[in-house]
Amino acid sequence: MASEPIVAVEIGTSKVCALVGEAREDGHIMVTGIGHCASCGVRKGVILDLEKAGACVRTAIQGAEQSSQVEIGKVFLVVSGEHIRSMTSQGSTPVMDVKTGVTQDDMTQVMDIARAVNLPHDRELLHSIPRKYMVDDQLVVSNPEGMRGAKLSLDMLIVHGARNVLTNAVQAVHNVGLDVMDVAFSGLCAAMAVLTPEQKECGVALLDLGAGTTSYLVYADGAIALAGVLAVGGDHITNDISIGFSVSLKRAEMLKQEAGSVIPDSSMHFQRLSIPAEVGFPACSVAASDLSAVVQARMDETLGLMAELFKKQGLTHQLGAGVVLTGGGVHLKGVVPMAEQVFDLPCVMGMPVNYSGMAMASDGPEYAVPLGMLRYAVRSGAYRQMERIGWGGLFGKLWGRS
Amino acid sequence: MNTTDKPKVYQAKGMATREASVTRLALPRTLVMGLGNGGCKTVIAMERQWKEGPRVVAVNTDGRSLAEAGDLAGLHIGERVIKGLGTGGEPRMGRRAAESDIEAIRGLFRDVDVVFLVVCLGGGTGTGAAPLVVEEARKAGALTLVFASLPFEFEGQRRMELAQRGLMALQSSADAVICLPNQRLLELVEDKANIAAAFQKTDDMLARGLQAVWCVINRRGVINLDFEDVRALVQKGNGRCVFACAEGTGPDKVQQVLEAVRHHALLNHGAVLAEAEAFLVTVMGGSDLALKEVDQLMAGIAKIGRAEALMMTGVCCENDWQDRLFVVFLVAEKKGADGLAFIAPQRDDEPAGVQVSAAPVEEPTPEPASRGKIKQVGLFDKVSQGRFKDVDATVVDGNNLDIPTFKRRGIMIQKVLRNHSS
Repeated sequence: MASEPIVAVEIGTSKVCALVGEAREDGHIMVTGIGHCASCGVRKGVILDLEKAGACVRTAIQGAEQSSQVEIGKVFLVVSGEHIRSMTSQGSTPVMDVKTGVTQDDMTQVMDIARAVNLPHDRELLHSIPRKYMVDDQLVVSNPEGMRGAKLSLDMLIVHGARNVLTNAVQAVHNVGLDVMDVAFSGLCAAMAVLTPEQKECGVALLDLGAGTTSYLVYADGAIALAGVLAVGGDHITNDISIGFSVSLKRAEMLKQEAGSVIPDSSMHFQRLSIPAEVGFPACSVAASDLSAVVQARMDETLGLMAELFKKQGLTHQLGAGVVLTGGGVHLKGVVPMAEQVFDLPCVMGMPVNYSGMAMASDGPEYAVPLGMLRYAVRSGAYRQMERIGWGGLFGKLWGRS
Repeated sequence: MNTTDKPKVYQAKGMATREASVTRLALPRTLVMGLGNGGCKTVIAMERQWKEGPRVVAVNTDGRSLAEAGDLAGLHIGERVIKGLGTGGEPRMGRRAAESDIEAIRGLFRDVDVVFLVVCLGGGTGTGAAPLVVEEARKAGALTLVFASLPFEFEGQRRMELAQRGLMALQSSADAVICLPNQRLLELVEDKANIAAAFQKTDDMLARGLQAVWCVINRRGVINLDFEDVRALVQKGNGRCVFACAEGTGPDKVQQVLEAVRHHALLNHGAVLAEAEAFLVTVMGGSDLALKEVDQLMAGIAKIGRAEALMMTGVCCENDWQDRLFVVFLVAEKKGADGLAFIAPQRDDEPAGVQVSAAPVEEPTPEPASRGKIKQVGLFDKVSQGRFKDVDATVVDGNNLDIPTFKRRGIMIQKVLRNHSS
């Protein structure tokens, strides 16, 4: 049975993308429409120009409406940017009735307590995700319902972001006459699109190599242990190339996409890549080995920072399923083998799992984030609501374990 | 065997750079250039030891030293400027000499892919002319690998200062610089050896290192290494790299080599190796070299180095080397190692390279790359952030990540070749 269409919008640094999807049985999602538009007014995942970003959203939505033949009024918005951080929070509550054991009420109660963290006034709670329950300080791996004990504790991961940046993102979408049903963090969305339950169980790190940012989400011991964003992405590579070889950003982007590689290929030692002339920039040629040195340095650093962070958090040894790379940056030649070297863990390219429909969207790693947003919307059940959630309820919603 | 290195018939240069590499010879065409008195002596020593090497040329301001070169190709520079005498230890004069004969120098780099420049820093010609020569070589599209020796301490503070400035200039212009501080050689020289012998020794050491690196790149070894490996290594060490050789003969040659490494003066008695970020080992042996021996050797070396150090290995065999094992180490020194006083950059109020006017580091580069000119992007260039200048910087551990990584890591790149014709 097809459900009503769900729309996910991602205002990314390189592109604004709108996907229309329908939930099918067993969590399968069918993509029925897609619209995208080259992004402007966005840097490092953060909207700098509401008007320009709004115009891009409008174009993307129009494309999605055309290809899916539905009228779009409500969307689910992906948010990203370095302002998004995660922290853990604990809460505990006495079990109300010792005879019946832990009830659903106790669980709600403990969640409310764990979630009630004091964030600074400029921060907004994005997600609060239960990691593990404990009954009388004994670890309960899964659902504690019905367990006997006197005290129920919960360990939660709190994902929060800067309030004004989040408000701006929502505002940009409002400005083009759309209602935002819910927002979700890009790293979480990407994880929902590409990670399998087995990977989550073994422990896995997901890196979304976006244009403006690199989002990460780490599962350890079957629960999310870390989430956040590093504001370094594919744009930085382009910028490095542009500065290094004095070419326009457009040409630099072209060079990156066509010849960018992180592994110096011995066949290109003495090869030069020619760049055609364009207004303001004469034709020139660039040594292929230099290009790869520039790209390699940046990628090595970005992945190195991630590896260091995981190490510092003591997570490296818990990543049995290694590292999954997704996002447009995966298309850079040699990035997966390089990641294997940097992390010293198995690395794979993350492909969306259990999607069908529009081939372009459901195959490539670059649409992992909006695809994941569709799944997020389905799981949270929010797409069934008729009314948009007010500011009070918009954030801080609970997202259960998956 | 290696006649392939000797230039055969080459295409016109313009074609070579623009056309696909298919039409080119498979092996990089190498030129070994000795520059200045020390550099010339080294290449002469090298030519003497080693008959079937690459093309070698000696370049000097002093005509007399070139006369000693025998049948080696020589280029006398700066005749008009300094009338065939030396530079008097003035890098400025060395640079002027090179400038006055720039056309001839440029001519040497025609049809060359890799230039090995040998220079003993601290004097006039080598120190002053080397950065300019490197620049020309890179303009011609060649990769540049510089072997630089630094003066003995007894040669005086001034020479050492000049050498350090020269080294800095080279490090920011050449693709890779391998450095041999002569002072470390003192231990290798017997107490009674006279000064001529000491210098002879440094020349021989440089010649050997050069030979070894050339072999690494050019010989089709059993386990091959190439220029990119050498470059990667030098980059690991921030452009600072030392080398050392050890030799063994007879049945326990492996043990001899390992013992020599542990006590090698150039490796600071093994400490350099033990702390190295990365090192490259080239094993040269006769046709009787056994796999087991190589295995023993590498296991022994791995034990000396750090577990996480990057080790690159190349093995090549020479038919006429029976029962002989020659091992060359190229070691990227640990970043910021304290034993590096000899190349610690001078950071006084005087900008680096004032006397070494060739140093690209002190060239103000305000105008955007003029047409056709190759400009090195160095550590000391003004930092640019391009498209991220108007957003909040991404700062992690005090590093502004919006600044290109290659700049922060000091990776040198050839800027661009502007095509005038098209």
